[in-house]
Amino acid sequence: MRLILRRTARQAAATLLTVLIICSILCASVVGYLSLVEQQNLLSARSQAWNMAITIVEAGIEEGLQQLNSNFGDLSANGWSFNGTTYSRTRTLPNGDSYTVTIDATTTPNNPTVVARATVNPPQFARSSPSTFFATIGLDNPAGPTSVTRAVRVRTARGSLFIKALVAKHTIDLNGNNVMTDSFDSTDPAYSTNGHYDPSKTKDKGDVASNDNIVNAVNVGNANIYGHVATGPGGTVAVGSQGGVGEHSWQASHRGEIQPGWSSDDMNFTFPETSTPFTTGFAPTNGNLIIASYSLNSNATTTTTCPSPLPASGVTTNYGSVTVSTPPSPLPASLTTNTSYTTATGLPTPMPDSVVTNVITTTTTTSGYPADGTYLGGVTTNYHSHTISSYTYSLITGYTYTYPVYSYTYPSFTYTYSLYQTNVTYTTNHYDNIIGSGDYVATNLHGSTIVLGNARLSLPDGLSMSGNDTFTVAQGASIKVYSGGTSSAVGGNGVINPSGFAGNFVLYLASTVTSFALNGNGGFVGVLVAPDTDISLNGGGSSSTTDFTGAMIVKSAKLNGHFNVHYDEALEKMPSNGRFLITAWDEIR
Amino acid sequence: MKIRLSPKSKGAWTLVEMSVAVGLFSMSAVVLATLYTFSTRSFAAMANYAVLDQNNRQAMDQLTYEIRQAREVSDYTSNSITILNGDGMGVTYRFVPQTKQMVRTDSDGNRKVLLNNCNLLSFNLFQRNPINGTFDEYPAATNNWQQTVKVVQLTWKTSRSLPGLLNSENVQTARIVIRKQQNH
Repeated sequence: MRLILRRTARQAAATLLTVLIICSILCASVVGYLSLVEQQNLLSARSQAWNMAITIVEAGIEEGLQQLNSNFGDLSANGWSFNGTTYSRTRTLPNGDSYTVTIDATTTPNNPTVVARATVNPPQFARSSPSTFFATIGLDNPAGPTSVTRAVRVRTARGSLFIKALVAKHTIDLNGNNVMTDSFDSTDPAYSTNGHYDPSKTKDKGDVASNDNIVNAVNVGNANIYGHVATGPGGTVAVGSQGGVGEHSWQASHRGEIQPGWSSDDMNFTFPETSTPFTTGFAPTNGNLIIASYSLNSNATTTTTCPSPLPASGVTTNYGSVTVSTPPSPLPASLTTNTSYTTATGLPTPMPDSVVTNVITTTTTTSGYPADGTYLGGVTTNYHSHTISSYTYSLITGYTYTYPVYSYTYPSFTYTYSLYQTNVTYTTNHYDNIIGSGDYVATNLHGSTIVLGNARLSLPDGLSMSGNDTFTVAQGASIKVYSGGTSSAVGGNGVINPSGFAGNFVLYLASTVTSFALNGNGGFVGVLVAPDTDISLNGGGSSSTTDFTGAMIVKSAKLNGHFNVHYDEALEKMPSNGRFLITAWDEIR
Repeated sequence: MKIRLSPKSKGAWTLVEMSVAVGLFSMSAVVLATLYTFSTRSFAAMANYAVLDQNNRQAMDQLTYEIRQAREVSDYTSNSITILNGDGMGVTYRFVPQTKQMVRTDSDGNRKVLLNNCNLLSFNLFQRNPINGTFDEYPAATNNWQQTVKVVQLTWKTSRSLPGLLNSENVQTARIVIRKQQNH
């Protein structure tokens, strides 16, 4: 049997239509799905570009800061351009992204502003390309910018390099007894005497810090750190039973402990490089010098009149009052009249305005009737057996007079102030090395050395002081000493710095110097910058201590007893020796 | 024997034809229904995730923008943080578990919901310098953290579900460095 089925044309069309509808639904689904995926992909790409822009901005900020710290004297170095106000530089990365950095050190030279603006190109598909609308034909960029731009502005400030008493790259070992750190302020009379450390005027900023991140990075031992202590991440601080870290008042009752909040482990000090900036210069001379030394005496004085002109030390006005019996002439601005009353047996001369006469009586009984004017009040008649026996009355025995007495009270002022007197003492000394102003180079500094001006001194073979050697920085003078060689030592009579300000003597030890010792009882008033040097501070005998006054930046430090370190907080105010740091960070449009 | 179908009989709807047609229709219907269901679920899930992702991205952008230029972290718990932002305004980001929201409030009294459908939010504070010998690991800021915090790490999880459909989750983690210099 053979069955022959025929399809009509209408049946074929229905099938085709069904297939078309199904395909349309499929296509619409696929297109919609893909569009959603594409949109999600686009958003992710834009987001990545947006976040990448911050990274590139920060690269620009880094370059700007590096330019400030490396070439502050000539910001147009290294290809930076100057438009009369700002310095700028543009860099394009290999993938086409770019940043432009602008430094404005003209408007506020002490606080330069760095602006970095990054431009990031997202992948092509994620750019804001125009849709295929006929209405956009002919427009340059109808959908807006195709790249992502972000900008950050930072404000900077140059901090001091000498911010702590002792900073080390590695370990700090405060060994032995009678070791202490504290602080003072040579520019504040409340915390110094004539600019020098005064044990009765101390502060609590004898900070000690190490970048090391090992156990016992700072070994306090039995020392007293009157300040903060810090280590690198994970570093620890060891404190002996008699030691302590914190304020004076806190340590007085907490031996062997660290005051809460006075220890941290996030130290990341940036150590400076030390190299001698010059190799030629004057040679120190020798000879006799008449040195004038100044001392300041003050006398407290009290006067009834205000001094004119006013003294620099200020005037303390003391308030009081004066009471007199006669009105002062001329009358003061404020006058109080006091009235009191006096009673006397006689009348005063001259007669006061008002007088009250008081009659003095006594009760009397007489047989006769009193005469008129001899009694006061009434007379009582006394009877005896119906006959008058006597009279009782108040007999006047005398008179007193009560009258007002006036006194006058008015304010008085006295003025207390200090009169300063500068005493000058001249002495004639022989010096083996006399240094004026300018750059000096010497092979050694044995004997006595004095600095009279603002100088720099290079010692290629190193600084080595011992015996009776002494190094004096005269008042008003300052010096930076650059010491080379492999080791250095300061002994003898130490570094004498009459001004008291440690910043007047700065000793830089080159990276070749691996050891430095401060010996003897001479002491040291200055700043030691030795980031590649292991230092040892060897104090005096058991009956005395040696003072290091200033600040230290070293590789490692070991204090061997009887050594006190006094940080001069005035060093914080030396702004020109630190690196530019960010003080404000703002994203701008 | 030879059977010839008349023209009238050619137009008949036989059982065989009916069975074949029903079978084909059923298969097509099943395919279409499956396709429809799958597409709908996929669309819904994608859209759900896209909405979630967009909200997370906006919240994260605002958070990082503000914390990055904060002056200091003034208060902190595991699910809230208060900063002094770059304009000197106190701003608190807080997780409210009852409403599953992350809320931003500032000292001017403004309140804004940054995230809905938030199941988890945690903050962790770290110190400023990485641990030596590690990559991108920072020591936790614990004692005296107000003075030492430099890095804020946050993690949140949001989820959004539609009835009868899959649940979309989005986990965001960020480590934000406070750029302004801390006073030490």
